[in-house]
Amino acid sequence: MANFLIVDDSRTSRKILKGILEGAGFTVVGEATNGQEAYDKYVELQPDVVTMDITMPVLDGIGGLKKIKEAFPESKVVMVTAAGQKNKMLEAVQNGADEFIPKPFDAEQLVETLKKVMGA
Amino acid sequence: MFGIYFGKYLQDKEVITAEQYQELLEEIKSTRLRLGLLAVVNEMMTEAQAEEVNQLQQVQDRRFGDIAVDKGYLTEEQVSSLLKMQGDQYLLFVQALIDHGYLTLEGVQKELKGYKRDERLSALDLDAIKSGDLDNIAPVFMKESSIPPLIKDYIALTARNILRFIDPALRMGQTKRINSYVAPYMASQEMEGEFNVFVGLSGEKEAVLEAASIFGREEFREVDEDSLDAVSEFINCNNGLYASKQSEEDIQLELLPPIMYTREMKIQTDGPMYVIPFYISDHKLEMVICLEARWQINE
Repeated sequence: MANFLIVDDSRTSRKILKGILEGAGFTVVGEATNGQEAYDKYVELQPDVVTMDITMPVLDGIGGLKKIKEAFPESKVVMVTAAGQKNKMLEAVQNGADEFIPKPFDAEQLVETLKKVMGA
Repeated sequence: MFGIYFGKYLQDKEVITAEQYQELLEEIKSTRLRLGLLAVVNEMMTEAQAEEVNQLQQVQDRRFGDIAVDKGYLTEEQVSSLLKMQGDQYLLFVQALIDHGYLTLEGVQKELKGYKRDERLSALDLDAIKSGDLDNIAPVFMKESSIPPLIKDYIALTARNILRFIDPALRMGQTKRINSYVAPYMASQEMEGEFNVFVGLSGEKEAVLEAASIFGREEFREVDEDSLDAVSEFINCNNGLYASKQSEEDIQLELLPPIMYTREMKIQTDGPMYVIPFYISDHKLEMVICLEARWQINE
């Protein structure tokens, strides 16, 4: 089953998302709290999919997405957004985001979206 | 929802006890069916359709009925008939008071007059609370004349989201204008863009822990970084919905990373700031909101 890297500065968000992913049979191989840490962990762990929150300190999700995609064009990065913010979503698409997951999380919709990304 | 406000008044006046108030609330909660469930049971929607609309409600600040009509799953007439099936909350509460023997009908009418007088409610305010519709109720608690429309919208949105995600028996208190606020702890987030906003949540320990535990899906016993993180995440989702609505009007707002204050902090401004009490399980959560004024935070 697929390996995931969860990136979010919120411990609550990471915990909820991890619970949903593991409940669906996926493996969470690592967690990061900002975009820079996300890139470092990606290099180390080479996950199948990254879930990336947008609003984070140090380096935000867009920054983390750019770094990972530049170094690993084949990577799959799903952006996590607190409701639809058009400008951020557009920026993410322009930088290669594979999909979007809204917060608050809906477990069924989330798993469906991730399976679509893995199948793509 | 009427019972939440009038019942609390009756409890404060010792007409009913705290236990009786809670019992009445539980009874009302259990008799009030969700619109989606009613629609499915009455074969107006499929379960899949109801679930889809419930999911959309999570990310759109809109009513179930409005989304269902837009998707073509229900007509306006069907929504009206479903709302009627849900029941008149005012009448249900009055009936419960009488059925339990707490008050006679005459007693209810007398207490209602007292409630209107003591809470300084107009006839329209009372009708709004009787309607059970939070969109009508929220303005009753924003009487402060200086509150700008943007903040009124934000307060109403927050009330809807607390109701939806934390406590369906939410009770609002009156919004007050302040220049400074001291809190033993706070979860907060700023938004910047076309205008700048500071939002913070603090309050009684029980309220903060309940909000954190319900939204964070784990039991928190202490107000610390972890429980404040859960409250911050609620603020983040709330702000996301607010920013999303603003972006529909081409107003761009960027959410900054939330900040948690685990020790006493003070926020003061040179402009208007507002504090709004939200009562969850009768414990006070306070939201502080500051718009476009320079604010300063000291720990």
